[in-house]
Amino acid sequence: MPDQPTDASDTPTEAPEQAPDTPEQPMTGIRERLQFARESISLRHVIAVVAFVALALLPFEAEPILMLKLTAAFYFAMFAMSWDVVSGYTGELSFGHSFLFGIGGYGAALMTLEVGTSPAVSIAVGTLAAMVGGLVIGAPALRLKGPYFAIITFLLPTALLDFFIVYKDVFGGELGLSSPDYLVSAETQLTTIAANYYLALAVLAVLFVLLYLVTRSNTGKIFTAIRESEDAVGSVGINPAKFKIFAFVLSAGVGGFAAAMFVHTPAGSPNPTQLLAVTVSINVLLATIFGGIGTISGAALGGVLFYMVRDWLSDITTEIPLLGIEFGDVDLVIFSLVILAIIYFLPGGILGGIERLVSTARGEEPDRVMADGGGRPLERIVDRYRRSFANEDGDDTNSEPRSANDDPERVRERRPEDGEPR
Amino acid sequence: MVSLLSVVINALVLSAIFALVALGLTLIFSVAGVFNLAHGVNVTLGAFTAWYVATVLGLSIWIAAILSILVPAVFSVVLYKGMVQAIENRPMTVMTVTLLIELISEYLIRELIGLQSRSVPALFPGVVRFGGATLTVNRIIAFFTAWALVAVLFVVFDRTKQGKAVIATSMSERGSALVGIDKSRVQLYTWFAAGALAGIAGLFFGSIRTASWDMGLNSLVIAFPIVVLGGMGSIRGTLIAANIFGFLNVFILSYWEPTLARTVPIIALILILLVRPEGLLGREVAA
Amino acid sequence: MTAASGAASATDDDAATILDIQGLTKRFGGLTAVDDLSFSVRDNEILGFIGPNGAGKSTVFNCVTGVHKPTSGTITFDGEDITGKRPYQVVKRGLARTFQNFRPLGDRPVIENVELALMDDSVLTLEGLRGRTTAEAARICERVGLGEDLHRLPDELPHAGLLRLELGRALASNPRLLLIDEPFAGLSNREVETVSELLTELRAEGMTLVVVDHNMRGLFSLIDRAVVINFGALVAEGTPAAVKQNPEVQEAYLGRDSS
Ligand SMILES: Nc1ncnc2c1ncn2[C@@H]1O[C@H](COP(=O)(O)OP(=O)(O)OP(=O)(O)O)[C@@H](O)[C@H]1O
Ligand SMILES: [Mg+2]
Repeated sequence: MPDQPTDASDTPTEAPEQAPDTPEQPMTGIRERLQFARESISLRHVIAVVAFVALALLPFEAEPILMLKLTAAFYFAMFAMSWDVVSGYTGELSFGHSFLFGIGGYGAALMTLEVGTSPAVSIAVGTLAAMVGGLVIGAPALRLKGPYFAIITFLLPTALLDFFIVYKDVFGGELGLSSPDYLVSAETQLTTIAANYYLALAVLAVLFVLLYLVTRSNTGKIFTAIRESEDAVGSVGINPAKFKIFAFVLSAGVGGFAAAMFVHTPAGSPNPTQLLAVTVSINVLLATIFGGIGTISGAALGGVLFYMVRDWLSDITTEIPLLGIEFGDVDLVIFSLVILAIIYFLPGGILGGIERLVSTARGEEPDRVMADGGGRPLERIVDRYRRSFANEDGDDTNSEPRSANDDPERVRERRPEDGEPR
Repeated sequence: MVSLLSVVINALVLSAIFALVALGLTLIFSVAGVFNLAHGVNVTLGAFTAWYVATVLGLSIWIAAILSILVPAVFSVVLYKGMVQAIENRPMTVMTVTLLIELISEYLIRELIGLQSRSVPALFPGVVRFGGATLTVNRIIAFFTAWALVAVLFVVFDRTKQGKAVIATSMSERGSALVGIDKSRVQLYTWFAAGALAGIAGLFFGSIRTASWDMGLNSLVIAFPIVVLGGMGSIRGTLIAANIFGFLNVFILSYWEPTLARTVPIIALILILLVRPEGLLGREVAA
Repeated sequence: MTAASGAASATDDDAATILDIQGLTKRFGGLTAVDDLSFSVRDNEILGFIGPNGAGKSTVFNCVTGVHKPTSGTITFDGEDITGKRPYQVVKRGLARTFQNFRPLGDRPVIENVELALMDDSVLTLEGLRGRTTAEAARICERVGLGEDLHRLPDELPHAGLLRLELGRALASNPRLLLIDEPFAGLSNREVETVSELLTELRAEGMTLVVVDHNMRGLFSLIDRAVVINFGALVAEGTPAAVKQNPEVQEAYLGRDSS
């Protein structure tokens, strides 16, 4: 066994021959351009446009209560997108984004209620406050390894909630504050609800386009490069700290703005359950994994779907046999189980799943189509954490070449060099 | 006004129980290299198993106590075998999955048992007077049992083959594999022990304070600052840190604002991670 | 661009210094990885930086490129004190490096790995929405011998391919001085030759190179000068031939290596 490969290492093996069945061979520019076209009008975009048109037409048919729910779902989708920017792209897993929503939402509501500014001004102030909060969360991420950072983020909203409880005269404690005036309101309640629905849909669309552009620009590619290796980013003259902080502030800006808007609509109000609770942070994570992490579109789609499906589940009063609990009371449990299944069996989320189905049907290689700003994000993030635990990123202490141990081919290639003089 | 002496005694007892929870967390971290966010479930399970067996079924508190150790230990092993092992070299997924398990359990317990707190009967009823303070025998037992367990742990790590295997694996996975230590066996011991220790802690929490649906997450919130301050993987550090946070907790509860008993450790954790991320006696964690 | 002087030996002492390391010390806790080390790199030479396992070579690179902060000592690049500067600041001044443990971006194909180095260090840009740097990146890939692999993922590359990728990304940042950490480990004889050719070409174009290896034999024909360290301290410095004759080197290093 050890003898046979020694010859192979001396034969001039060309790289392409080692993986003959890889389809991509850059023979001409045409091939590349075709591929670019295929990617730029991918299934994902079709879904997005169809969904958007359907949602825009919906108020002509729907009950007001459904419109209110969808309004809340749109804001929740914005929360999910804001989470995806940090956790899906730069790979810094946050278990506590509700910290930012809390600052944005409560900040804006307090401005309107206590200071008496107009909702528009309050929303601007709340957004800015959340961005400062983003700096606060982002700073430890510059020094700490991911898992420790995740723990900090997990505990921050709890600390903030405790603070709100202690100073409940100002912050309303567990019950939250009363609703401030709406940003837009009309004569009839129905028109107000419809107006807020369209406002939410428009804001969702605008934020989606903004985040989509940022994540597809060089900035987004640098975010994902940070996820892969911060050392590599630093070693080509790019300051990873700056980009991480930018990701946090951008994320906080989007999440805080969404929260500040949300509390100024009939669908939301400044209370812990809607903005600050641990479950909000976790729901955002679940929704994004559900839709497909690290894609923005997955967060948008997952956010709306998650919210609506959960709402639907929570109305089911059928009892679970044996336990005597209603389905509706454990909706989150059911959802969590679904997400666990996705984590184990469908790392690309539902969007990834659909695309995989479609591309397999078209006979394409599925993994490539899923790349969106690179790789399959859930796996890439997972990998980042594995490395940070294995202490690989950041120091060069290991004297073995990166993969010499796990690939017999590479180990054997060293052999002639060690023994024979050249 | 509570006397200072009884506050101090309370703090000593509570610190010992915190230490049991934190030790499991840090043991799993050092052997498996993952944060087990479902560790709080073991505490809740311990407390409610004891409550159910002793109060609902009306069996002897001693049977309840034994089950409150076994049930979490088995749960912990099943969690490892069933869910964590398949993804164990992906710490981020482990964190997400175990956090979901924690939340799912918390929800289910809330649905099954309700928001109301329950109390577990005392193992030994009765009170003693000590220098002007009155304390229950139960607390004294809790304190000494916890420290006895810690002592046992030290002996196990020092003397037994299995204990040495755990330490070796936590120091160097490759090295211990080279000398023929079966890593998955070591994992089983560790998860079993972590579950059992947390179960005992739950039992004591339930009989000294109360058992409530959110006790798991709450003990996690205090166990994290403890293990980080102690230095991940360091048993001695964890014991010291458990006492620091135990005293902090009891003093805030007695003399300041009860809500802040949860907040202060969180703030402390953040500061520790920023200032001295390797903790008191641990290895370096900062990037 | 400096005239191509070929592989002629660069023994002329009046050649300008591009990198100067003075009294560099780096401790990790109780362990002294680099111990009061001083040497300099001359403009447009290929310097071999040699030492056994754990001698502190990578640590010196890490200190020079700002990955680690030196415990003490100064590092001067092109007349400017760069001690303690962050990695990206050092790279912007024209000093790039490769990592001994490769750091590929596993989520994207080869060409995009190289494109990263062509991006601006600026957050407020929508650039990159149309592939403008692609041609430049493709040229660099071609240059390092990855012309056939532009659209492969790093995982699909052989070991030598990953090394080329590491070189390509470093080159794309357009350095004047390039530090290369153990390029030859794990390469076949033939691959060593092609990489050596590439390095010689780069030097001929005016670049200065510092190449690390355990093993001087592999470097012998490539380098102009060698610096040998052991236990973080300087053992010898000079032409390859002179260094090889040095008894301390033979004792501390070459003797042990002939296993
Ligand atoms: N980040 C670190 N933390 C602690 N010790 C370190 C660190 N980096 C390096 N060391 C130690 O410093 C010494 C020098 O290591 P270094 O990697 O610089 O050696 P090297 O000459 O590059 O060796 P090799 O040829 O094996 O790559 C070693 O003992 C190593 O264990
Ligand atoms: Mg090295």
